Amino acid sequence: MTKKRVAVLLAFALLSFSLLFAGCNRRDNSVETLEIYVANFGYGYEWLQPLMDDFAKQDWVKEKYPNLKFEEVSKNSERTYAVDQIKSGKTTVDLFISCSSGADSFESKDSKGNPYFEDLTDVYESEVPGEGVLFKDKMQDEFLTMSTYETYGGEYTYFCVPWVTGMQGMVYNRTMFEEYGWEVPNTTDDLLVLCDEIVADGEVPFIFTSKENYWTCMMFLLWWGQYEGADNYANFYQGLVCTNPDAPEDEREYDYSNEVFAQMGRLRSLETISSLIHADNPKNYCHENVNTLQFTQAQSKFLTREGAMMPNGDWLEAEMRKVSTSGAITDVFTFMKTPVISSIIEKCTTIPDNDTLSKVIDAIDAGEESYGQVSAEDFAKVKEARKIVLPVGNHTIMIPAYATAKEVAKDFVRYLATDGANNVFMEYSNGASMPFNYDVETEDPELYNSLAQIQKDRISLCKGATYLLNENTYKTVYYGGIARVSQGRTVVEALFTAQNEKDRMSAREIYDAEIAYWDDVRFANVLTNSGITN
Amino acid sequence: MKKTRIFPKLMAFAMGVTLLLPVAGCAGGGETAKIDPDDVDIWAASNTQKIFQDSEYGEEDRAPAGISLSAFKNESESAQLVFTPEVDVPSYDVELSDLKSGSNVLSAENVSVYNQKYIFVAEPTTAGYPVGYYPDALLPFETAKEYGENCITKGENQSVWFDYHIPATQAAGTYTGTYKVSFGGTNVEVPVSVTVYDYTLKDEIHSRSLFGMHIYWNEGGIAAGEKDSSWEMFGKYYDYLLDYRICGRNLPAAAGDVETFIEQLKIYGKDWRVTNITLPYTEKYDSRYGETGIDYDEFKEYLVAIYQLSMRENYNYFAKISTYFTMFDEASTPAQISMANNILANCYEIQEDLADQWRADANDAAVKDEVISSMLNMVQLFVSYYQSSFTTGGTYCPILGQYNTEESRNKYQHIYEYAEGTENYHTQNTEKWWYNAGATKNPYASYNMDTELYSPRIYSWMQYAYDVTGNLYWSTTFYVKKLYSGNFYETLQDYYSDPLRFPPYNGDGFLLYPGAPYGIDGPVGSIRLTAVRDGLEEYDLLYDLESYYLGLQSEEGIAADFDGVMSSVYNTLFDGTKVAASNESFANARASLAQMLVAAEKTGALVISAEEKTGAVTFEIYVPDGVTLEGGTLLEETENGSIYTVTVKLDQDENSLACTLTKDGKSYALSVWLGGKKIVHEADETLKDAFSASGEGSSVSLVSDGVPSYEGSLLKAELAAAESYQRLNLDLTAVSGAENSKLEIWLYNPGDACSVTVKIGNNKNIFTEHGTLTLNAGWNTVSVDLASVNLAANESLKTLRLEFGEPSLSKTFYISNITIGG
Repeated sequence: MTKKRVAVLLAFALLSFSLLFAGCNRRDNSVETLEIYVANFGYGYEWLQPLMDDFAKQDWVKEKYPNLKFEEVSKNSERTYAVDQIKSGKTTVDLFISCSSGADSFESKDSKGNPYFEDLTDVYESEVPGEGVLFKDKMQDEFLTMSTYETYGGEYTYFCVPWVTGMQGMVYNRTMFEEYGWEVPNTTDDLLVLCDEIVADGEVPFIFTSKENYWTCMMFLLWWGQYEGADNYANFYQGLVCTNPDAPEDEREYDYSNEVFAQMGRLRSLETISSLIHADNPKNYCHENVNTLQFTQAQSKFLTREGAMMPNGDWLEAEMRKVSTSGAITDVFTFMKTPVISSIIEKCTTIPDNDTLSKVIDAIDAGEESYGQVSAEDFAKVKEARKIVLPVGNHTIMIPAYATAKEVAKDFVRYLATDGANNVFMEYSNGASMPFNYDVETEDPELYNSLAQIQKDRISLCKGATYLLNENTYKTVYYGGIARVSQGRTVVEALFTAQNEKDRMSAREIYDAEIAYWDDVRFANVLTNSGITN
Repeated sequence: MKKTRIFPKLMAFAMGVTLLLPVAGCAGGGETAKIDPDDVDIWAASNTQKIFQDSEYGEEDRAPAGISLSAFKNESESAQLVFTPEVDVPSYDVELSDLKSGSNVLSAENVSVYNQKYIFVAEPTTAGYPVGYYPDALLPFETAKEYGENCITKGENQSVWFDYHIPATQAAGTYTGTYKVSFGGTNVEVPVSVTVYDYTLKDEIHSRSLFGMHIYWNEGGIAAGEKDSSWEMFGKYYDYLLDYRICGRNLPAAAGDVETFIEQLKIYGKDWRVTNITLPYTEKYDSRYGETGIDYDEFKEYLVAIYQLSMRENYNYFAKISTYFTMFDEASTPAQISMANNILANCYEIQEDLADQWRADANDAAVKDEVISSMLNMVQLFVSYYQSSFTTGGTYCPILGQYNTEESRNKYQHIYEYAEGTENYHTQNTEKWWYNAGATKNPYASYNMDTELYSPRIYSWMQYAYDVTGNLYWSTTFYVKKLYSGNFYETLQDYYSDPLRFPPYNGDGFLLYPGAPYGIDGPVGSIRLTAVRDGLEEYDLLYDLESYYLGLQSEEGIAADFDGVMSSVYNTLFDGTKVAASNESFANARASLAQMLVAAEKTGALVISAEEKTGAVTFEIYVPDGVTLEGGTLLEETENGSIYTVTVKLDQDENSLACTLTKDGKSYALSVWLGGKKIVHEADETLKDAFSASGEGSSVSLVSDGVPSYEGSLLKAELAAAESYQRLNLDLTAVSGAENSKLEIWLYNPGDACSVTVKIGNNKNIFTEHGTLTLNAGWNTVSVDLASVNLAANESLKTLRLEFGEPSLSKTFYISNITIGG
C-alpha cells in the first residue's frame, strides 16, 4: 500500500470517527434547557449570569422545572444577529437579548406559514411571579407603549420585551466643571456661552467622533423634541400633521402628510448642533481629531479630559468601570439636564429672550409652577421641554416561535419583571435599569448609594420625565420607512465636520434635502407599505 | 486496474435528482385500485378565480362540473375544472372531443390542456390573502403525465386548465359536447359549452408593450433556468411572449451587435404581433458631465442601420422603435434626473442631425418622410413619476399608481415639443405609457401572485380607459432570488418554488418558468400570463368598439360618448387604477362588451350616452333604419336612424341595461352591466344634518332651487372665504350603509372649476387622502370607495371630508343626493 493511500485512508478514518462522535458534543435542546443569546454592546452581559442563577433559585422555578439547565450563553457584537438567527428558522437559542428592533420582521413566516417570532401577549397578560401585578402593568408606561406592536393589518399585540431603559444625552465632566467654575447651561444659547468660556480656559468643549452618529441619534432628537413637544415629535414618525393645533386636544384633527418633514423643530435642532460643531464656524468647539477618532478612542479621551462634554448614553458607566478599575479615572461624569433649545421662544408669546427663558428654567428646576408674566401655556411648553429625556431604544428580548424551551424562556422573561431581578440587573450592570417599576432608592438604598453619579442622575432625571418614544413604535417607520434622516445624511456630525469643504452640508441644506427626498410619491409609498392606505 | 470514476457518477446522480425535484409531488403514475366516482368531486370555477390547492371550498363555491365559456372568434379564452378527491388519486387523465353547434364543429385541436402547478406563498403581499399553495405555472398536460404529476393527494384541489383559441373562421354559435375525465378506473363525462360570439378579434394590436427578459440576472435569468444562454433560447422566449400579445424588451441580439439586430428587425419588424422594439444601447462614461451616458456613436449606428434597411425595403422600420435607458430607471435622485436630461438631449440632437442628413441624401423611397418622422418621434421612455427637474422631456412611464387620481393623471398629459417651427419638429409624451412592478399591489391592478386573476385583465381595461398605449413590466424571467436586504441574490434550486423572488412581492418579476426541468424547449407559461394576454385582447376589442363610436360621429354626425357609456361598465371594475370587481362583475362587463360589439357590427346600433342621476342611469341608443329596438322610448329621429332612451333604476341587486335589437328577422341582445344596488339618500333634513361646512359664515341648508332644470330638494353648501381651508364634512356615522361601500356625492358647481381633495377621517380624527379631482362647472360626481379604507383594530369610519382648493374664494355648491353601493 502506498504512503498516499495510507494517508487517504487515515484521513477517511479520522473523518468517519469525527462524524461518528459529532453527536456527543451536541447542544442540549430539551424543553427544560434554556439557551440564551446576548448581544454584547454598551451594557455588556455580566449581569446575565447572576440573573440566570437567581432565576434558577426561585422556588416556583424549581418546582416547575426540576430539570432546569442552561446552555452556554452565546454572545457577539453583531447587531442584526438575533433577528437573522430567528428568521433562519434553525437556531436552537430560546431567548435572544438583542440590541436590534426586529419590528419589520415580527410578522414574517417560514415556508410552511409558521411564524418566526413568538407572540408574547400571554407574557404581558400574565402575572409577575409572586407580585400580584400583571406584567404589562409592572412595565413603565412609556416602554409598554413602545413595545405594543401594531401589525400590518392594524391589530395590536406584543412580540418583544425591552430589557433596559437607559438614557442618552449630553454627558459632561462634572469635576472639570467644578474645578473651572463652569455652570451647567440652562439653554442652548447658554451652552454657546459656556463653550466660549471653556475655550478661554484652554480646554475643549466637545469630544466625539464623526464616524458615529451620537449627535444625530441623541442631541438632534432631544432638541427637536423639545421644540416640537413630545406629541408632535411622535407625530413625525407617524406621518401625521395636526391641522388644528390650537383646538382642544380631543378635537384635534390630523392629516397624513409629508409636511411632517418640514417640522421646524428639525431645522432648529440642526441649527443648534451646527452652531456648536460645524467646521465652518468661526469658533471651534470640537476636538481637533473628531474626524479620525474611532468611538472608543473618543470616549477614552473624554474620560481623560480631552473634552468637557460628549453626547453619550448611560452605558458610559460600564465603559468607565473597565478603565477605572486600574485607578486611572477619578473624575465624575454624568448627564447634564439637556439645555433647552433657545429657539423655543419663537413659539412662546410671553418669553421674549433667552435670559427670560433661562429664568423660567430655573423656576422649573426649583419646582415652581409659574414664573413672572410668563403665561401658563408657555410655562408648560418649556417645562415639558425641560423634562424631555431620550431612552435607549431597540434593546429587546425576542423568543423564536419554534424555540424548544419556549415556556422556560417566557418564564425567564416574567421573572425579569420581579423586583428581585431588577435589583440583580442593576447591581451587575453598574446601575442600568430594566423598564419595570422598581424604585431602587427606597427598595435598596445601599445599592442606590453605591451607584455611580451618572446612574443616580439618570434615575433622578427620568422621574416624572417626558419620554421621546423610540421610532420603532410606529409601523410607518418599520413598515413604511419613515426615518429621522435619510440618504447619506444619517450621520449629521459627519456632514457638519467633514474635512473636505465640498462634503459639508449646512443645517438648512440637510433640512431641505429631507423635505425634497420625501416627495408625494415616496410618502404615498410609506402609507401603502404600512397598510394605512391601499 | 481500471480506475472507476465514482465522483462524476455521484455528481451526475445528484444532478439528476435535482432536476427531478420540481416534478416531485404526490406519488404519480399508474392506476391502482378503482376509485369510486363519488370520492372525487369535479367542479367548475370561473377562469378569473384562483383555486388554492390547500383551501377548503364549500358547496356554495363549487359550480357544477362542466366547462362553459364565451369567446370571440380569433380570441383565446380559458376555463378550468377542479378535482377535489377524498382519496388519493394516483393518476387522472382528460380526453377532449370536438364540440358541435348544429353542423358546425369546434375542433378539439383548438384546445390546449394544462395541469396547474402550485407554489407556496408564505408571506402574502397583501393582508387578507392566505398563506398557502397558489396556482400559477401551467404545465402542458401531456408533460404532466410524462412526469407523473397528474395525481392528486386526498383533500387537495387540483385544477386543469383548458385554453381555447377560437379560429377566426369559426361560425358563431354555442358548441356543446363532453370531455372525459378518467381516474382510478372511473370515467366521468363532463359537459362542455363554448359560445362563440359573432364578432372577430382582428389580428391587430393597438397597445404597445415592453416586458423584460434577461438571459442573465446575477445568478439567475434564462441562462440559469434553461441551462442555455444562447440567443436561440432567448428567441424562443421572445416568440413565446408574442403569442401572448406581449413584446419582450429586446430582440434576440446582443447590445452593440447592430448586424444581428437588423437581421432580427427584418423578421420581427413586420410581424403584426410586434408593436414595440427597444433599441439596444451600451452604457459609456460621459466625461462632459462626469456621469454615465450611452455610446452615442453606437446609438447613431443603430439609427443609420435602421434607416438604410427601411430605404432598401421601402418599409418604415422605425414605426415600432423606442428607447428605454435603464441607468435612470425609476429616477428619483438629482443624479439620475441629470443623466436623463443629458442623455435624452444628446439623443434628440443626434436624431435631428440625422434627419437633416437623410432629407438631403439621395434615397427616394416612398416611405422616406414617414421614416424620418418616425425616427424623430420614436418614444423615448422616462420610467419614473413626474418631476419638474426633468426638463429635457421624454415619454413619461410612471408606475400605474400614478394614474389613480385625476389630479395625478393630469401631470402626465403634457406634450413636449422640440425643434418647433422646423422640419425636424417632433414630440414626446404624445403616446402615454405606464409601468407595473411588484409595488403596484392589490388593490391596484397587478401581476403579483396574491391578487385576483381578473386583476391582470382589468389592468388592460384601465389602460384603455386612460388612453395609455404602452405598458412596461420589468421582468418575466426573474429566475433568481433577491434577498430582502442589500443588493444580494441567491440561486434558486427549484425554479418552480419560491414566489418571493423580489420581496416583498410574490410573483414579482416572473410570469414564465423554465421548461428545461421538464424537457420542454422553451418557457412554461402561467395563469397570470394568460390573464395578461386575455386583457390585451380585450384592449383591442375596446379599441374596436370605440371605432364604431368614432365612425358614427364622423359619418352620421351623431355625438356618441364612448367614454361616458363605458364608464358605467368601468365603474363596476375599477376605481382609479384600483380594482373594485368580482368574478361576476368581470364576467358581466365582458358580456356587455361582447353584446355591444356584436350589436354594433351586425346592426349598427350603439349606446351613445349614459347618464347617471339619483340612483338611475338613462341611456340613449342609436338605432339605424331597418333595425328595431325593444325596450326603449323613441327620443328623436335622425337622418338614417333613431335615438331611443331607456332608464334603468339601480334598485336591484344586479342591474343592467337590457334590450333586444332585431334586424332582418334576427335578434341581438344588447346589455350594459351596471352593478349592484345603490341606496339613494335624497337631499332632506336628515342629509342636511349629516353635512357640515367649516369656517365662520359657512353653512349647509336645504333649498328647493338653485340648479337649472333640476326639480326637487337640494342641499346648498355655502363656503365662506377662509385663510387656510374650506371644508365640507359628511358624518359617515349618520349615513346608513356607508361602510364597505362605494359612496358618491352628486354635486353641482354653479361657479368656476375648482379642485377638491377627498379625505376620509376615522374616529381618531386621522384623515387619509383619497385623491384630488376637479369640480367642473355643472354636475360632478365625487366618489370614494369606503371599502378600500384600511382601519386598524380600534378604528372606525367617521368623516368624509371635501377640502376645496383656493380657500380664499368663497364658493357655493349644491348636492342633490348621495348614493351608496353599486
